[in-house]
Amino acid sequence: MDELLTPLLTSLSVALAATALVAVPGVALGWLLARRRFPGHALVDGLVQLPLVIPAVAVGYCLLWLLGETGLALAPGALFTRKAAVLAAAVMALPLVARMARLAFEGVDPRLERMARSLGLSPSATLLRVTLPLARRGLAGALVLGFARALGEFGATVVVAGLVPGETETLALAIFEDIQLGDERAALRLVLAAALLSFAAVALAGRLASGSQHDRGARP
Amino acid sequence: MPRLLPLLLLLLCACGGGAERPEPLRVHAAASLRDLFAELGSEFEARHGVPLRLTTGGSNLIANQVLAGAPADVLVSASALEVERLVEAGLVPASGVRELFGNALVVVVPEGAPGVETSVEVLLQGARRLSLAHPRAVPAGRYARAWLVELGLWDELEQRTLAGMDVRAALAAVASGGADVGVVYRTDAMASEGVRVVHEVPAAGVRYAGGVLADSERPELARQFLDLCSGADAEGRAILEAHGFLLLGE
Amino acid sequence: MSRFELDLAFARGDLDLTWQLSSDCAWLGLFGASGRGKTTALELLLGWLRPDRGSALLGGVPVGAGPVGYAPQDLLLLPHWTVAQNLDAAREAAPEPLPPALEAALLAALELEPLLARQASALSGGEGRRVALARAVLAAAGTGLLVLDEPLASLDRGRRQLVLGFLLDLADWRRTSGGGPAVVVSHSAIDLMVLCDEVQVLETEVAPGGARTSRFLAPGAPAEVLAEEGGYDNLLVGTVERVFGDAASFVLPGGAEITIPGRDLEAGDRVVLGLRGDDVLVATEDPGAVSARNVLEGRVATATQRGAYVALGIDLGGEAGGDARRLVIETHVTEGALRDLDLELGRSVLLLFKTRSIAILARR
Repeated sequence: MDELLTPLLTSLSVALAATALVAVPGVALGWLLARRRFPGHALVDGLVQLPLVIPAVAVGYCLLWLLGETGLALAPGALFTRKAAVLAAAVMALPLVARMARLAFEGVDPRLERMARSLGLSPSATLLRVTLPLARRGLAGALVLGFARALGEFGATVVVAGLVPGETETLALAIFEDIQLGDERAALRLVLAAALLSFAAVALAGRLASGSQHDRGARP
Repeated sequence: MPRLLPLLLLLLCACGGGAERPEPLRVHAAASLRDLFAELGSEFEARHGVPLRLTTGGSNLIANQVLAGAPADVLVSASALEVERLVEAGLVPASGVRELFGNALVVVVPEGAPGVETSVEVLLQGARRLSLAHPRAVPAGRYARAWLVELGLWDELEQRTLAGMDVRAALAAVASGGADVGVVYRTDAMASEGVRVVHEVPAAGVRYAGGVLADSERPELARQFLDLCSGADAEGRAILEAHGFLLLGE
Repeated sequence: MSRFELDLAFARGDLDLTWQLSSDCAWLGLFGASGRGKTTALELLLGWLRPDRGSALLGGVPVGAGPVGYAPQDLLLLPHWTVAQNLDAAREAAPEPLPPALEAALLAALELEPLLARQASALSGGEGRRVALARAVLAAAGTGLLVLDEPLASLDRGRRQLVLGFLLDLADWRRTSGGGPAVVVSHSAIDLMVLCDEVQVLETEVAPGGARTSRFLAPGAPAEVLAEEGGYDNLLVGTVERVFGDAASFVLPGGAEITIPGRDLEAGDRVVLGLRGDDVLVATEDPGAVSARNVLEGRVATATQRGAYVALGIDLGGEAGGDARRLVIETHVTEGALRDLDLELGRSVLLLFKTRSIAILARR
């Protein structure tokens, strides 16, 4: 049972920490891409989407190069620790959070924001009291989806965090380890646990997203 | 019609190319043998005109691939265990199993780490993160664990251990500075510029074993390759020693 | 410094708009067919859109600054707030508060009391329009820019009257307390005539490819605009005296009484009547028995060549009541008729027109 519980708890805590880490940057990026036109907009959009498109191990390699002695050596001591696992999951979840946040903000009529401004609300008050509340369901869905992504992260994690039981060994890595050892029953248990967890997360995200379609305002 | 022409030419070349080159000998080998077998493979091709198609990985991983049905002519593992599993599965005849050569186990630190003044036990005990190949699954990890158990250090080191997919991954972890100490094969340490050897484990008993697959369509060629690997002739022996492997019988 | 100083051009998509206006009127009406032009014009006035060329000044100050009350066609109520919260935001944004009596009248005329606690997203279309209008009025108060896009559309007849009445009271108050500019868009020329000092018509030409070029024509008095739009050369405003069966009697300024169609009218109604110049006959002597019920005396005051016909302005005289204006009726005659009847300036003539030629354009 411990073989199931330890990776499960590790996965949950890594995914939670990763989601907390990308929540603000992801939402901020989503807002920026939705609401502002600026030179380099397409470039930022592309960079943000990159981890979604290139193989996860490639992202892992980039992180390894950034942190480790063989590259920029920004923080070699963080490699193969919980911090690295959180970082890898965060980087892989960020594009999803930013993309969904952007959709959530694009679903808020910018004319409503103009109207709020014309009623004397400052830009920050408009953001806090109008835009965010109207986007909240979509944003919640973005975070849940980011969490689900962080939960299932493997490719980047295995490169920069590796297998340290209790510290970096998430469900995905534990499954991989059991396959390596040939312990298929243990692997199956972990696979079922991972599937249930991910399914729950995605179902929650779906409910939040469909709920947000109801907050559109009085029809003229 | 003109648009089809380049496509036809391409197909012709592909077919033509396939007809000219001989079928490669499919070799599945332990991760630590990558550089050695690249060179032995060139030598083999020069002699017999047949190239190698080399697949490397942790010995357990490549054994699992063959067990799962991956087509292969030869398997060379870093310990006898994996080859015995193939024998039990009936994929390799018991008579076809051979011990080929040996390796030394070394303790490494990152290249740029400060000089080690203390004993290796103290170094290990003070390690923040120890990098090994997986201590249960992969031979290199099993050898290392056996040694650490002998030293009485395994229990306290276990929770600080980073288990790599294979010995090359374990090596890379040290080279990146993420692990401050690692136990790998001497041949791997020699092949890498990112690490420095600080201790050699005496009599670690690392033995590479190989076998010809029963399903192989070229068992004779496969056996000849294994002969080359076991240092049956002088050129083979020279290559083995140059890479740092231990000839048997020494 | 005049209230409206606009000289701008704006193009987006298939719309190409130009707008010139220099006017000190307090209430400006914008009239024209439905389409994106008028809403675009409003948003240029609010500063929500920037013109490609030119400038827009309100009271000498560039648009976009200053307090604003805007009731757009798509409402833009903050959906996650209650009606009360939406209105409170307007009150807070207002440059000064509405007088309590006026605010009470606003809430009553729009019947907002039962809606106050409801969430804005739960309102029906009609309810939302009323709230949007109230919000705009509160936010602009006396000195702010008030912009109303079709404020009376989709209101039933009874409510229309109530709201129109309120807007007139609001206009009166605004004129006496600072007089911020107000702009009303409507497809109903009548409403604009009642509310506005000047009306600009948006004229649109559609090119074969679908591109639309729109420009605002020079502003005119609402009556002129209405008349032109409806083809009525004469507009008569007054009160219904009596109703008898299908007809009613109507007293012109000057005292003369005419018979107008009386269906749907009640004594005391204030009405706006339209009469085409083509429907008015001129006689130089009493024609005797004719079917036209209306026969008026007057003098030829003006004569204008209009190509196919001559437009004569017939002065009916009279200085009744405090109305010092002399009523002049326009009639159209051919050149031949002009010669044959010897209709020179100063000549006394009789005007004849049928009851059925009178159109009831508005009723208050």
